[in-house]
Amino acid sequence: MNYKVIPLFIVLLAPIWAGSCSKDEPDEPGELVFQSLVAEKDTIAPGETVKVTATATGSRLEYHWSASPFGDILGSGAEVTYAASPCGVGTNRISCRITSGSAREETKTIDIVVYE
Amino acid sequence: MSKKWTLLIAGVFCCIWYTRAQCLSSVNPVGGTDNLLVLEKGTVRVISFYKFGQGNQYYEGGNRSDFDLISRAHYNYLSLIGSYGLTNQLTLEVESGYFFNKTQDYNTDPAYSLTGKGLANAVVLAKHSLLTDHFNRFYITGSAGVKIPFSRELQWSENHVKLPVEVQPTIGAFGAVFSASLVKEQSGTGMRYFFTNRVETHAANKEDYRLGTSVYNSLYISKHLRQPVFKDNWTAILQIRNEIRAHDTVEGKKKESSGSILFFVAPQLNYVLMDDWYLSGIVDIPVYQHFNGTQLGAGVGFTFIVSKTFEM
Repeated sequence: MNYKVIPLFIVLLAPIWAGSCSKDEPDEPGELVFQSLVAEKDTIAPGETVKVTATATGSRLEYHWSASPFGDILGSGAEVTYAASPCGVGTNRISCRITSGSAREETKTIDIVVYE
Repeated sequence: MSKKWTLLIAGVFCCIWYTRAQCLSSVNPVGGTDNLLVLEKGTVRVISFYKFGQGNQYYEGGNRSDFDLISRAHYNYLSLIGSYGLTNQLTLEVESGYFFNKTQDYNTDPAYSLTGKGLANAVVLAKHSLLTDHFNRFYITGSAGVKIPFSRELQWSENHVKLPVEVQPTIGAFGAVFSASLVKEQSGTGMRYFFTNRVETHAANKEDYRLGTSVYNSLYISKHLRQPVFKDNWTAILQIRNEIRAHDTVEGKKKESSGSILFFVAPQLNYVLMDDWYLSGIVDIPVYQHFNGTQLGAGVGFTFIVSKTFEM
């Protein structure tokens, strides 16, 4: 056998081995870190609106918003607008739950006071 | 009572709709199970109606308000009611409905809308004749039933935002419905008078939101149009309706800016097609509105009804 051929085989077959190895290794999305949930103002009047921003890092983030007991969430994504209703006088809680591609999730809440 | 008037009554009353003028609320229909009288045994009645409702003016108490967070609220609703005469005294009725949209348009910069849609509630009623006086042409029926939500969960938008209760197709709560109807005919003059009363109570939903008890009273004056030009196919009806709503509660606490007293006038025209199909058009006109706190009031609405009875 011509042993000079062996290095040639290695060179030719190495990409195949490398490709198959990388195909078996799973993707590693960025780890979810929910850094902050902030509103422009924490006290507003009925009928007023305020921007609320969620800051987070990670991959394939999804933002889930809700307000309780009263008020409406307008928009979507990392920044939304909270609209205060007349029946919402008092403390209302805005909740943001972020999910990531790694199936992790984190939730933060803030309070907005609606005054008469 | 003749089949003709039975169908007419079904067409007249199938949709006591009302404006659910809650805090920041869009208007809302109630596809009322208001086939006033019982069916003959073995008879099936089907009613379908389409409603458009809207509101664009806030009220504080009985006065117009400058509050303008929502520029307009509107909905499109389709309902189907099926009734079956179990006996000559007892009728079983099932109603369901679907919101093509319940929308609130916000007066923000940029403008924004929130829309819910989907199946609303099913109402199952048992209706019984309480008084049948053919000689004097006076009839009374009573009914009781349950309201069953098609979903117990509140809806979220496609963008993962929880929709407010005012645009939810259903609040996700069970309820009870009670009603009574009185009908008086004057065949000689072609006049008929109807009075209906309906009470709806609700349990709290999963999030401890409970709709206030609602009471609806309606007086109808119906005149069969006998002039030759109408060919005995037309009936004109005038409805005067009162709607009373108690406060909603959230987690046991009264929700301010909820509850109202409303009055409507609703002219209606009814047409009989091929002796069996009844077609009706109604215009709902609010004439008095009083709200607790600040709420979005009702505007003019429209309803179109088709009904037919089948002898099995």
